Amino acid sequence: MNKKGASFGTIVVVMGSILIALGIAWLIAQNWRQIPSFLKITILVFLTASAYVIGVVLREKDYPTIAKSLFVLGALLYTLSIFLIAQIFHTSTSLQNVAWLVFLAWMGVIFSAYFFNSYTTLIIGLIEFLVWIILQFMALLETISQPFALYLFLFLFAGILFYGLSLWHRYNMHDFAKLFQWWTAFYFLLFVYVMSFQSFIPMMWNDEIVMSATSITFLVVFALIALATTIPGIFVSMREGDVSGKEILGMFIVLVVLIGLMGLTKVVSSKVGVCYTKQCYEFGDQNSCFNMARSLSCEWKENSCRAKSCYDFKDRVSCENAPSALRCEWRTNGCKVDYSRSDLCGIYNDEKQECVSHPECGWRTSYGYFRRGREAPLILWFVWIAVNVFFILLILAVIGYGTLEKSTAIINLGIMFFSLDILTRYMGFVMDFWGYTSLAIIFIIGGILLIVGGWLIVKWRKRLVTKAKEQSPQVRRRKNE
Amino acid sequence: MNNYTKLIIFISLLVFGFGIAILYLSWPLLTGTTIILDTRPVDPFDPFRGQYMTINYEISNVEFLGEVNIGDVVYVALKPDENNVWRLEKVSLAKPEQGVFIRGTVRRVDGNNINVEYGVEQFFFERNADVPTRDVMVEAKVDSSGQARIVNLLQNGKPVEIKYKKPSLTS
Repeated sequence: MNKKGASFGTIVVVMGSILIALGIAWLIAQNWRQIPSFLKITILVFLTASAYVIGVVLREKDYPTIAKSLFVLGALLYTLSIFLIAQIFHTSTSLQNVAWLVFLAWMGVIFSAYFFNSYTTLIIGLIEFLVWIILQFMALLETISQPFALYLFLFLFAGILFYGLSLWHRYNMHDFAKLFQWWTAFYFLLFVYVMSFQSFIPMMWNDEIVMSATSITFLVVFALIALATTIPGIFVSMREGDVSGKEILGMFIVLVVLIGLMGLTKVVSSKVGVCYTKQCYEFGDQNSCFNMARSLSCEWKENSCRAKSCYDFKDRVSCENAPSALRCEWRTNGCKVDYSRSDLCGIYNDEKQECVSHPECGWRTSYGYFRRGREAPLILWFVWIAVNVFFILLILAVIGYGTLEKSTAIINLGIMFFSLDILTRYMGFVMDFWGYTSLAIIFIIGGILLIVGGWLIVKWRKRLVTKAKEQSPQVRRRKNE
Repeated sequence: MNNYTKLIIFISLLVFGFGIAILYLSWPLLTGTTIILDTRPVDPFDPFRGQYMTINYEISNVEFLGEVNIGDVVYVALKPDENNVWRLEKVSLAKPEQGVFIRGTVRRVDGNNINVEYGVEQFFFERNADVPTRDVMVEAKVDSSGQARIVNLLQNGKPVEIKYKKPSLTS
């Protein structure tokens, strides 16, 4: 992300590369039978090599923008080649095998990024790395239905690793130093942005953590690698003056607050949830099934607990006397389900103790898909506000950091997330407080805020970017040497 | 090192890397013994790799008397019946010293029954293909280490004829 960084031209040509790669990916997905396997592999390897050859030639001829796009195309074609070869040999589709394929992909892509000094390729490699880390972790888990918080911890360690790499690149004055600084800021902003959704917070701890020894080992080893990269990175870069104590302190505060917020979301898990009416098949033994005979109309048949449905009640009287959980209603064409009637257990939403005290009700820590923010309990609002206040502070800290580092790319990133936050929260309020009058007021106020805010943001951005036009500390250090 | 030298090194590594991968994946096909296995297939879709059929084998669920855990490697010794379909002979944790066997990983343990994955549970084909799912057998090759690769799908002893819809720009 240097001054020659992401121009409009770069974005356009990179998008062109992605489109070409997508087209080729689609052809592979079609699994063209007309082409023999050997020829398919040859074509893809030839295309991958050609993309790199043309990229190098164009770079030598001083066409760096188009060269960048060809390196991106090469990296994407390399990734596709791996999956094509796996397809040809009918290799396993298990999570572990897909994780292996993605592992080979990011290793190759990151290698080519360093080899050809291509930062756009490095971004692809880093994205593939994140895909791999999650696939590999899921492959090692006994069950993938784990609390989101567990995956977030994995991503948090990845963030620490990125920061450590950023420090080492700065220490070595590597060309990717600025990119890693930008990527780390982007990564943490995205991390908190995902956490800032009200519907996401209750899902953070929606299940009990069940981990096998291998998955715990993976998590611990990954955390140790992240720390072993970052802690020495702090010492060496501070010694050389590449990084200030303020930055390290700021990063430390961000991590501590993030861990604190992730812990805080656990409070919500016992307070916010959907109370649903159980299905008969959830009762595994004859006794419990028999106990549900009246309330849920369950019956034990062929070694399993099965439910009667409204259709089983053939006359008006039996239909009207059917258990209320079935929500039956007599209509001209028979006994049907009345979906407009609320679920039997729905009245105990957000009341876990009440919910679980009813044998026919089950508890699911989730916000539910159709509920609105205005119905959210106070505790959820509290946690949500805490996360969002932190998000705003983080955005401001990133913008401040960008100004200190005189990096227009980081300033632009902060402002982009600031705009995204305003837009997202505005849309959220529209969805939560939907109604004719309130919606009209929200639209008018929102419109005014967006126009004024947009104008102020552009003005603010221009001022910050002008300030940041001076050279960065790394370049100054290089010159002094 | 200039860019062109780097390019030559990179292309060489690329071709070498893919060559090694292809050789590794082809090894059972080049050196293995042909076996025919009985199946029970279904058909999902892989977003990464297109349309494929998940194959559940007769030997996917086997009885094993002894202590075994999820993730353990097991070796299933096979022998052909009178129709040349290869059936289970013996399951062991140790690699057999002779005979034809296939290597698998335990995926589920249910008492004395174990579910084993052999890495040949999928067969990829083109979208819009009409693939028969009944009475299908799999012709595979298995090398001396027990690693297997699919060669073909068979029906009534002959390679399955996959019918495809006529390709068009909108297909």
